[in-house]
Amino acid sequence: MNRKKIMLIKQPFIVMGALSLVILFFLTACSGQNQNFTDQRITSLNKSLMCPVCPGESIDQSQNDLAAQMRNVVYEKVYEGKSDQDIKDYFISKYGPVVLMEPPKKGIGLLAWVFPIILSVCMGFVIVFALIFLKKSSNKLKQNQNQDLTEKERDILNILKQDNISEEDIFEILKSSKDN
Amino acid sequence: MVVAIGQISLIIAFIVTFYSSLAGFFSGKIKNNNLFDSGKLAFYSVIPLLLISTASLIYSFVVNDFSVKYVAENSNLAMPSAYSWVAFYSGNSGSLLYIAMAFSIMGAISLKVIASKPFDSSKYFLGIISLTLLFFLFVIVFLANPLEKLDFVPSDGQGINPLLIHFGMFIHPPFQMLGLISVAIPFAIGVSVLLAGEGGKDEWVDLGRRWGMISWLILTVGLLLGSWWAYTILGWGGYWAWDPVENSALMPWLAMSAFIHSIMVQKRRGMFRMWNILLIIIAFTMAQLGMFINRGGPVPSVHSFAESTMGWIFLAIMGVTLFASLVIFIVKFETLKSNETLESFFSREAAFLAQNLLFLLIAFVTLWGTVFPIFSETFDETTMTVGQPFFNKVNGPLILLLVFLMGIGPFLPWRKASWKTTVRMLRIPISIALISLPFLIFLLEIQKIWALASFVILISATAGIFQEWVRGTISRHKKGEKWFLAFYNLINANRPRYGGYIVHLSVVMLGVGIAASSFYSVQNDFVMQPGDTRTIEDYSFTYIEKEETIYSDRKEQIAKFSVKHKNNDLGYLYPERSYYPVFRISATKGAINTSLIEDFYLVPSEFMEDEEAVFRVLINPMIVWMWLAGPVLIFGTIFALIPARSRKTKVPLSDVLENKVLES
Repeated sequence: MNRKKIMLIKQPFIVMGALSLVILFFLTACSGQNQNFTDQRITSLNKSLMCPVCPGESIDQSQNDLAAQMRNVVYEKVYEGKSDQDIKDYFISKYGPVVLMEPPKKGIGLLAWVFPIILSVCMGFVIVFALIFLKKSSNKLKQNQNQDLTEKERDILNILKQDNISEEDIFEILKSSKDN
Repeated sequence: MVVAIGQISLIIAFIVTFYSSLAGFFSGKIKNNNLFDSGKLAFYSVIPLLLISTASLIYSFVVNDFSVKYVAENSNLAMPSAYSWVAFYSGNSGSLLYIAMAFSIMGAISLKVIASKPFDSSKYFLGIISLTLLFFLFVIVFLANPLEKLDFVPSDGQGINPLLIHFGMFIHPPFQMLGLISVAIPFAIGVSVLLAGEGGKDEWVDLGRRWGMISWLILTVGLLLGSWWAYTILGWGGYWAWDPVENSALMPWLAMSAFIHSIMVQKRRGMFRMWNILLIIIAFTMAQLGMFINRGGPVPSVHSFAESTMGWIFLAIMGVTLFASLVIFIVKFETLKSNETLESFFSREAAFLAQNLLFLLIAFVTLWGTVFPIFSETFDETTMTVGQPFFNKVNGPLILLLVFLMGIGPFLPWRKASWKTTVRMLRIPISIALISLPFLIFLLEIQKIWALASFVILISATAGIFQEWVRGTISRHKKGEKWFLAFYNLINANRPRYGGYIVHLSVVMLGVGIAASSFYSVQNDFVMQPGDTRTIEDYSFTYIEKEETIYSDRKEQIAKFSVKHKNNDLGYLYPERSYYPVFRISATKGAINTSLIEDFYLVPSEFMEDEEAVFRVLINPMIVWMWLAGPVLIFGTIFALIPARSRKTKVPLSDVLENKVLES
């Protein structure tokens, strides 16, 4: 019974699984504690709106006058009690969707978000297929590798094998001896 | 007169480079060494020619010769004289000349090294780097000549963009531009090996690795300097904005990072030959794309200093290069067949492959975000912005995954890993990360899920690296070496590996700075009058006075602050704001009080007519670790680059084997 327990702990999958459970527990325990202060709301709104005359900069970072005005508008509207979406919509109606720092998750903007996911999945497949392809020819080629050896080298291989040296190390040694 | 000499030497350089590219390819084709030697000499002689042209351009800047169009456009009498020496690369055509000049020098050094090795591919190498240089010289001579004269002499120039008046101007652009073009060197090594049909031999691997790392190092330094510059001058308290031009410098860096890792697989195992060539082709294409985005300006960016109307030619050359290299690859890839194969899915090779594709994935996602505005405009006629929040959300998790792999990958053995050894190696790092978890959550109050994940991964990666150092040192110490010597011998025995660990450590430092500052930066705007004192977190700061000076080109306003942290007096801070009426640009210089824990960052947003002023204050935690990572990274890379000592003294292994056979 006791021995079985130890065996269980030795199973790496179980150890890994237990570890990730512990991590998950901690992560869920402490999520959702972010409080949203008005100041933080204003900053995050400022960061999500682009300054229309200074390409690439948000109104939060831009030193331009227009950006300063827009910051004031955001400030006022937040204190008027408008929601984030209301404020964004207001600026969209004024400047078009270009005013948002990230594309909206609808219409063609959705494509911007979906494509990276598709790409990630594709890359995952590429990794799996590449690994399978690289491995498939493994056994076949290994035999060839042994056939490449001269008779003497094969003798050496056998002797070394008796000495309990792993086959990998032997290949390494043989390879470097060939190079010299 | 001076300008005329510069012009003439430019044209001679163009002709000579034309000759050296022909000589390179033909001597490779007919295997003629005399022709190769003359081509080499031609390439070397381009260096003095381009130095003369560059010198004449710099001279025109220093003496304010506004009869030169480029000088008139990028300089004026009010420019501080120190900047006259570097203003020549602040615009499009001058920066092209800088690139050509720097590339001729770097190309010549690499040519000298590579030509000393007995490869036929070195001839093609000459051809390819000459062709690259020829392209730049063609653009300079025929399309964007920085030494072009005006018909009249204006009394003053238009001046340099005020944002460029900063110490960073002396170092960031030279490194960044050289970094991008230097990718051409490993690219040329890879493609020349293909052309010469020498891809089956792995001799080129060391050269490719070495020059790949040099290029990667220059790119990295360029990126770090750029971030540091943005942090200190752009006055928004950040260092990276996922701006299109920043992205276009990051993409080749990502591809090069993949390359310098996967080339190690070829070095050690003779695998991934085709993949490495493809990677370097991708990296060079991305470097060219970067130049196109920077100079063609298809997407709006804050980096529009070198913008021009000739983006098309950079796009065209990128297309031609990509097409030609792929054709060469398809014709010649048979020569790259490897006898080595993957033995297990669970091995360092497999981890390298996953890491490579992850690097590329980040690069492609970045590319997608960068060009998406063009895409949406073409197909939907809506202009959209893809900015910082998008990239943070999409790339953030991918980068975290990459750092996670960085923690595990080095512990998987080559060929085949077993669970037992892997668990044994990862036991300590994972336990340390788990033990640190409660400290992070309750003591440091890191309670955002992504922040916590980042720090746990960073801690375990660090623990893993130190575990390697400590274990190796202890085992050497047990064999009788003194502690210090044991450590020294350990890292010296396998410099690529231990240099790599040092670089990984610097990546952890970067990661700490990035994670801490992006999750826990505090920011607030304060309206203040002289004499006012405000507080933010543990800091209290008093606005003492404002000093205003009017120069010929700008109105400079410097505020004086005294700052206290808890009860410690931190002295005075002087944030600046200068308004340049000609450009209608305000440049701000933040004043920063730096400590290892956090930066107190103060920047004037606005000085109003009355005494009132708006100041932005940021508390950026641990950001200084990013800048400290730079020197560590440079040291680690150079350490990994130092060649191994010659092994001539060693007994040839075949003799050892023979003795073994005789003994038995």
